[in-house]
Amino acid sequence: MVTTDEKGPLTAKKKSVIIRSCDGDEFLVSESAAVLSTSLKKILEEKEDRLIHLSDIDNKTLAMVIAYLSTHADDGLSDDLKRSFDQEFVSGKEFDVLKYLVLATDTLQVTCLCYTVAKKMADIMKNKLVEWVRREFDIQNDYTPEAEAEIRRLDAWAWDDRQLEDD
Amino acid sequence: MADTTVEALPEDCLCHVISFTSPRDACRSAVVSAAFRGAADSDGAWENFLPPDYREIISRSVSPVEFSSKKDLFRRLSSAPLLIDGGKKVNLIVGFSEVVELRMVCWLEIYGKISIEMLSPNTTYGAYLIIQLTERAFGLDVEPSEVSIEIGSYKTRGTIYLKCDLLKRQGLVDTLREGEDRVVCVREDKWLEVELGEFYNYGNHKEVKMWFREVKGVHLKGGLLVEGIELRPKQ
Repeated sequence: MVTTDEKGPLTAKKKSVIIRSCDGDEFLVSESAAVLSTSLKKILEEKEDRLIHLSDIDNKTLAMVIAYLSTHADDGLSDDLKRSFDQEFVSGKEFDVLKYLVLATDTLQVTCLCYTVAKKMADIMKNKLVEWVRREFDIQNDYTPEAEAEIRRLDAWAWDDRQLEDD
Repeated sequence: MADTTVEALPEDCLCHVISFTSPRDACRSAVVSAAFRGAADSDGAWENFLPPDYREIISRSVSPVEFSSKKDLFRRLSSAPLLIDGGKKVNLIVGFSEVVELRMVCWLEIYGKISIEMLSPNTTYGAYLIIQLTERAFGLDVEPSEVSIEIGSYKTRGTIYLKCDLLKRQGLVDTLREGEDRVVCVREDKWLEVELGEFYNYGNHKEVKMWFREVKGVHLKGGLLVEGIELRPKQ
């Protein structure tokens, strides 16, 4: 299946690239959008054919990244519109979705989006309990109780009377 | 992909996320797990919590500032005011002889006291902190600052926001914000005046104590020029 991005018909004359997600979905993307990713740019410079297989990015995450790249490659949009698109892009997204996005943007080296997503994740993480972070990041606590107590003691001021949240 | 966890993220990626939180959140993040701590304690994360010109500031310190990591440097800069350019004092008393620049602190507290004998009895006085914000002022408008006055058992309290950006750009008084009940005025000599409070001098107490402090946010702040505290009779 080839899914054209929304700018597909308009950019038909321009060079296009097919990007395949790890679960086999293919996306037709203009080359001008693809090269906004530093990693994709490097790949395209090195290979002849226009098919790129990304073995560690799933279709949902890839679709979101491509929507971002296509919007930012659109010369017809003002910087203000692109900025408000960025804000809209991360607002309301689940923490879990953001995790995959930040991982994908790091792999693809889409610096601006990586920062925007990281910032959004940070905003959600602020004032959360350690237990919340462990749960949301799916992390096992590998400290011994003694080691954990020692680290808490190092920066005791970080645990003040401020109410921490668990949801 | 479904079993990917963020712990599998490259450390620099996790650093990005943590660098956008706060020093407090970063310290707590170190407790999450040993692997998480690598990112939470990293220079990449802590660089963001230091003022942009910290290298220049520490190069002017009276005694050399030694540190093993950016987090360690943050701890050092936060735990005590930095004395620079020959060691100007930061604990202030009414009417000091020269202007003091607060370069960078974590807990900001300006305290002054004056003997009541220097004031006229049976008069209402206003106490004003005379300040300027430098071009590089930062961190002063994150949390509201508290102002208070104490004379015997009489106490007043108030809050005020020092709006770095607005004051720098306009050099003007801004409208009141929620939770703020003191005003910043621009004097003819271009210094800013922060009202700390007012009191009536019955003449039966020894001294007046005055405070200006912002100790809720532990982020670093600086760029405050302090001339002193002025006490003037009120109409």
